[in-house]
Amino acid sequence: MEHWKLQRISAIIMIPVVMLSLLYIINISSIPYDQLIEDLSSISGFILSIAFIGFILFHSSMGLEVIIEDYIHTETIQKNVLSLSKLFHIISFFLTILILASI
Amino acid sequence: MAKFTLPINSIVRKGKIFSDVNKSENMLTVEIYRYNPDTKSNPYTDTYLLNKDNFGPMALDVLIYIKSKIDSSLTFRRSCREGICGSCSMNINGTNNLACITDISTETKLKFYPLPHMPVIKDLVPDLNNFYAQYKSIKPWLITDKKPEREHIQSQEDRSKLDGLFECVLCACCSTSCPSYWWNSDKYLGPATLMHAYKWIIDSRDTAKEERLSNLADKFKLYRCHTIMNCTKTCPKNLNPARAISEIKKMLVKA
Ligand code: SF4
Ligand code: SF4
Ligand code: FES
Repeated sequence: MEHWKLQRISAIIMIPVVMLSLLYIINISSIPYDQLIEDLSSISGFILSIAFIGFILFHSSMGLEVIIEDYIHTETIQKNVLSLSKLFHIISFFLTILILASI
Repeated sequence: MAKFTLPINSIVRKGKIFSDVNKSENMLTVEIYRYNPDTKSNPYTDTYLLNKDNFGPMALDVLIYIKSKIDSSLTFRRSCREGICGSCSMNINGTNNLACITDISTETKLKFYPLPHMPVIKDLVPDLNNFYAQYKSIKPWLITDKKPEREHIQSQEDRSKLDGLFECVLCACCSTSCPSYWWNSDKYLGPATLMHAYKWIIDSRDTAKEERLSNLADKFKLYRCHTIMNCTKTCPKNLNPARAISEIKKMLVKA
């Protein structure tokens, strides 16, 4: 099933992406402000940040979908909550891009 | 919503206390879930204070003793009393098990409940109709277009692949211990049925592997298994349904 496969694949991809990002975040207090802005607005910083947030949101959206299907059984409510969750994740993703692009 | 609390008419009350023991004796305190559909009243738990010297060392011996000596209305399933028919599955001290092979020789307190999250017919007898229908849905029989003159021959090596699967006695201990099965037993097939499906998929004599696999490739039938592993932990025959399920998932990734 596609959903199950995608969930595993996104989990595996997240390992290096999250590790790289975490390494950066742990050291964030020792990076000068100007350097930080420069890093985030550089092409690689931009791509890494989007990948970081993107994969987290993608994985979280899939996970929430499974939880909603597990626990909410009334079909119409389930459908609405599922769409709400998707919408939330998509909006969060575009907000992230907007914010990153405005740095 | 998945149901987390019991409906009002299923809330368990305290029942009667029976005693046939003197304080000095080898005492066993037994609490049993009772429900009688004819009285239309709530279920309750009866307590029995018993002398352990009066019966054998297995949990089923306790139930048989109570039924024959104290209360003949106590209802439970049993047949083989040697762990092979799968009838006496129930929840004993919080774990699903076969009563006839549950050693109670070191216990001083026992709690008997029916298999969890199933409709109760009476006392310790749950309604397993849905469970059996799900088992039937995977076509648990040999499908093959070959017509050998005698038996369907299988090499010893292929036969040994079915070890750890064919021993299942369909007691439903695993399925009814699985939270995913609790929430979605109408659509999720559950570990017992899925393990049987896997057994047929890998049986060298069966030729319907593809068809069997594609029937399982479903968000609810198979993928409600979230690898919680309660099934494997509880199986009284020490089988590993969780492994069988993950093998099916792996096969589907490759398919
Ligand atoms: S796998 Fe084990 S627990 Fe599940 S039905 Fe078979 S024997 Fe019972
Ligand atoms: S491994 Fe799967 S089938 Fe077994 S208890 Fe967990 S969710 Fe249920
Ligand atoms: S009575 Fe047959 S398995 Fe327990």
